[in-house]
Amino acid sequence: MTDRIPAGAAGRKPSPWATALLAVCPARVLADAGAARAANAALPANAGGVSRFLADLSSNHPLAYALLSFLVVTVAALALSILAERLMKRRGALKLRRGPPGGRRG
Amino acid sequence: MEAFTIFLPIAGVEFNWLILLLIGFSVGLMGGFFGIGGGPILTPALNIFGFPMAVAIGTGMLNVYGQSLVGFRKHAKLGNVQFRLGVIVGAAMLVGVELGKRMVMGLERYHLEGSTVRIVYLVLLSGLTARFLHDYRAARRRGDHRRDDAEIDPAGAEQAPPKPGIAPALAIGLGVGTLSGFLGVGGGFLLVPAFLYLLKLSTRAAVGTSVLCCVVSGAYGGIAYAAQGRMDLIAVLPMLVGASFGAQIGATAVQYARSHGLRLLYGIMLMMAAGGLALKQLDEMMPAMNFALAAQGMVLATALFISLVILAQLVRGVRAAQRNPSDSP
Repeated sequence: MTDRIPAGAAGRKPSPWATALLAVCPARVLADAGAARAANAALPANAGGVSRFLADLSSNHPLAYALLSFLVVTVAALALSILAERLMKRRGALKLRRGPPGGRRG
Repeated sequence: MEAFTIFLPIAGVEFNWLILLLIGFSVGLMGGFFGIGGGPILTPALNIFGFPMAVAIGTGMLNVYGQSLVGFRKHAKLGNVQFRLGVIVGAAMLVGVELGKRMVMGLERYHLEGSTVRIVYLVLLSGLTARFLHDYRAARRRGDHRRDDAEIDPAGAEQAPPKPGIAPALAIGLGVGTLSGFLGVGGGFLLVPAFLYLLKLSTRAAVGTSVLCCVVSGAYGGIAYAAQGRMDLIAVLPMLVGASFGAQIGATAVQYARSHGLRLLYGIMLMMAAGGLALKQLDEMMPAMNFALAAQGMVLATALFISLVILAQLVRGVRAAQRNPSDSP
């Protein structure tokens, strides 16, 4: 786990008040109104393309990010629920036998 | 373990996606079983594992939406949803969620959102735990071994469902919606008791209708927090995968649950969630004591324990139904 680093903190000498504040608070508490931009600035070098794209979208086009998230989650939830239902039915996990097995033939 | 670690850009933390998958599965299972979106466990869990509180709330809300959608399909098919009531309460919840979100964003300016939300959670969860455990003891004393209100009386299915008035429904929606937007929950853990005790719905109708309300509040809350840069989509997806399977199992298992057993399990879950949050708050106050690790352990242990109990109920119910088919739901 890594704490959020405030934007611009890396590579710059922090001011005395910031040092004092950091000493008494976890760094993530300092996340302020520009949290999305801060997160973007604090992306590690090995962060994937998707992470960078989403961080950038969230910073610069927050409404587009919100709508994209909603659509992705809606499609994923519906697709996954249908898939899960079919898989479980196929495996018989949700089927209830209404009578004794093999009790009714012909 | 490096292969399982992903970086979550909005939360600004590295996370093991297997833990996200496990949390998602457990929360989905509880969502399907109790008719809650899992928020009372999920949002504190994300915060305990290092998400800033506002991001935990936003991420929790969108996840609640996704898994409530899964649970809703199942409950609608089983006929557990009262649509008229769900739409009225859901509409009022939209207003409430916006109010709650504004409160969190206001507190965030003063860096007070973490402690405030945790303390509100603690008060609420403790109160609800006491209520559910009291109900459980009362039911035990009466020797009440019903499976569910509707199932004890087959004629109950023929009777028209109760039609609650618009004013109480709107009041419940507004109140629960505000807490929902403030705490990052769908609101099911408050809606189910409100429907049960104030609107006198059967357990199944209360659970099914609350899932519809969670869809509405979760969707709006997720979008509203995402538009503020306080929602991590990458964290939602592994949880959703786990939740979609968990919800199918949970919604099936609820048919075999005894009413008072459901309340005991719910009470235990809320108590453990409150315990985890208390430890997290202690960690914030005394970082040197490292209570965070204990809080994380408590969350994972709770998730595993509740999941195992629900799965055991399902297996026992299916076996009983196979032995005596006329007993099957």
